[in-house]
Amino acid sequence: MSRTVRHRFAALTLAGAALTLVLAACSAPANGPSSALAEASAPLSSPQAAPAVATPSPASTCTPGATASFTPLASLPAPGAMPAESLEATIAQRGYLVVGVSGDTRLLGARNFLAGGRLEGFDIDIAKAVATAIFGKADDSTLRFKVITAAQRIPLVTTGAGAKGAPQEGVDMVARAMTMNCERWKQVAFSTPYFIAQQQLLVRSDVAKTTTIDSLAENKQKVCAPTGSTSLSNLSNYPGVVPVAVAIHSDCLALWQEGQVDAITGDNAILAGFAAQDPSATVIGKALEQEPYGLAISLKHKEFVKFVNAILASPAGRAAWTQAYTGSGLAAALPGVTHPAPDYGRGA
Amino acid sequence: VTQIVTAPRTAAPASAPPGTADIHRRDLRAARRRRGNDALRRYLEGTPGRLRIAAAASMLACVVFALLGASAFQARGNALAEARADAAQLVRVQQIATSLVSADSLFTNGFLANGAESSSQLAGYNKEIATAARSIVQASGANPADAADLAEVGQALPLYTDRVARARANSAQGYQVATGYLRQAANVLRDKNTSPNMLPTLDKLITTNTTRVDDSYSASRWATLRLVLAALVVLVGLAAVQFWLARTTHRFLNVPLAGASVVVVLLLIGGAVVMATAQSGADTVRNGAYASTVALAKARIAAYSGNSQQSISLVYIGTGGASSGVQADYKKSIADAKSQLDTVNRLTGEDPGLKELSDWDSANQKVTGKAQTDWIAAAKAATKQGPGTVNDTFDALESTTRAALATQAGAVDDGLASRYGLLVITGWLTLVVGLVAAGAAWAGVSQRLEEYR
Repeated sequence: MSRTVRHRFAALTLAGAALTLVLAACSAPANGPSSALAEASAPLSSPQAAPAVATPSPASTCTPGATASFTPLASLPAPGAMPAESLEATIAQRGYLVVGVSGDTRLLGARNFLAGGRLEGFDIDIAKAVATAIFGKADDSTLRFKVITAAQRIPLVTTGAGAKGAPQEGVDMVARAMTMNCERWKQVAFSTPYFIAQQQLLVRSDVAKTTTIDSLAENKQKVCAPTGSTSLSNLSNYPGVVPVAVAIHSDCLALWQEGQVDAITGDNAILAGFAAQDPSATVIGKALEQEPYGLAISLKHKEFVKFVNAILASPAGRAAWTQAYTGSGLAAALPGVTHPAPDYGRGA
Repeated sequence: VTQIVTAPRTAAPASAPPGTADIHRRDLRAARRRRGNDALRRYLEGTPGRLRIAAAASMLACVVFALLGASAFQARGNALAEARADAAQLVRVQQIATSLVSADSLFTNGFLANGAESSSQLAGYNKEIATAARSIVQASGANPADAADLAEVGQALPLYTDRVARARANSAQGYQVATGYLRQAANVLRDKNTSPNMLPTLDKLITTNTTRVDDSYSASRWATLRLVLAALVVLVGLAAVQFWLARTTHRFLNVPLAGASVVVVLLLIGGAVVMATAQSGADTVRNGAYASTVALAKARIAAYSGNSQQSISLVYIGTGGASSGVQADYKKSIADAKSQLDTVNRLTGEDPGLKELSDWDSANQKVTGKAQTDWIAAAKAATKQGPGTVNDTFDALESTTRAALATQAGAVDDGLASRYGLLVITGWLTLVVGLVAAGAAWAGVSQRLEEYR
């Protein structure tokens, strides 16, 4: 090969590589590198991109929108200096924050029995960020977790945790993979979204390529989801699917492993935790619904919602989010997810 | 050389027309019947004949007494034997339930300790499962009427142990799905809507066997009526014959008849004492040791169930689940156990474990309260072994009630077995005495008959 020919070949190779990189960059969605994977059947435990955002649930169409929360406080008060007459001041006076979380949702909120039963996960770390903003630290003395079911989320946050000397059975806030929707806004308030999940399906790897929500509906197959979850109610959009309701997520995985249900539906963040527990599990298909997670707070405490929104928007809050995303293992299971854009559509 | 020719003894004439032979045979039979009737009439006519009738009547009364009396004692003995067998089957079924809830209590407590079951807990679990499996086979063989329900329990047992194994395996790897299998195992054990299941089916069998024991006791009471009937027949029979004999012969005492009457009366008095003692003893066993055994077994099942429910409740508080529902189940189990132990206390006058139950419940309440604020510390407290721990207070309850149960169950078996032997012996004695009395009655009347010859 002559020297001129060699130079031309090298130039073409470089140009081709550059073009490939540009095309690859252009095809990546805002919150993940590969939309193609939205319909792929690759296991979520493999380092691949999160699915594309699905069509919002009909329940999410309202004004203000389901993801719209209140304008955050102009400035975040220093720990120990909470605004008077606010829930955060009540919490500070009580001495600890009470947060309702999941205890069995790997990657989001679950006990690590190999580490003494400590609660770990993305939601747990977000709750710690709120406790840190109030007390300057988040440990057993300033943060108490209450493990709750999906069905307990609204009743317990409505009840509240009470004031110092007058404790209540409820919680100050729920950080438990709770989807924001218009229906729930009638019962509780939400922070601005802190994570955007997608409702998907978990099936056995050997049928992953041939299974869709439509094929499950067509064959009248059983699909499991926890009672009180939006995943379960969304199944009504697919007549033919036989919904199986259980108390907690782990029950679904146990039933699925025993072959008593054909698939599990849930948020990809939750299903990724299932896939991490069973190598024969694969999360498949395009997102059935978009599931924006918000921190649920009592409707009576709009001021606390603003306070929490200020935490999420603050540099410390954003750093905590990133730390939670990577430290919980969620980044490895669902790579490419970014801090959701805030939505303060409900104003002050 | 000779030809033997056999001729019919009463051959009809060869020339007789058809039907004549039949008429002849009929006439002969009628003649024989007339001769027999005449002989019987002669045998029974006059005073000698009436004496013979009196002899037969007194003998018949004695024989009826022998058979009816013996069967009365045998029936009561059999009824008590059946009650004993049914009580033993009830204890067997309760043993299956106890072994299962004991195994579950060990498993759930170990699960709460992050799957770090102690070797003694693991060995205890395996032993209880083996005992349950063996007892299912034994109980099926002991009473085939229970076999179908026990088959369902036997079918559910491997499903339960499979879920336990899966829960352990997943827990050991730190997988949260372990709690799903914990719940599945609990469903197979306790949920009546799960098929096959174990405890609801065993509850049904416990009710069935309790009814059987009651039925056996009720059957036992019919024996008294039979004995009273036998006494009436023999006493009235012998008294009537002696009265008639005395009036007819002007001899006021017939020694054999009077002797037979005395022996029969003595036997009746003795038999009545034996029967009353047996019934009273059986009733004492039923209302005392048997009732205590049943109550103690129920108390232990409730206590073991409570122990499992306390562990599961703590697991749910820690990992999510309807802990309030399980806590309510725990409180019901404690109330059931207390109610049963109160019954035993009332029956025996001794404390069969009420104090231990109270101590254990108090310890559990503290742990549950602690779990609301510091679950990890509560779980450690609930699973710790050694003196002064929650498990120690449960062990105290377990050992106290176990000892009391062994004592009462032994008393039931001994009580019913000893009475069975006495009743059977008295039954045979009644048969012999009744037959001897029949002979004596015949002999007594025969003396008077001889005087007429």
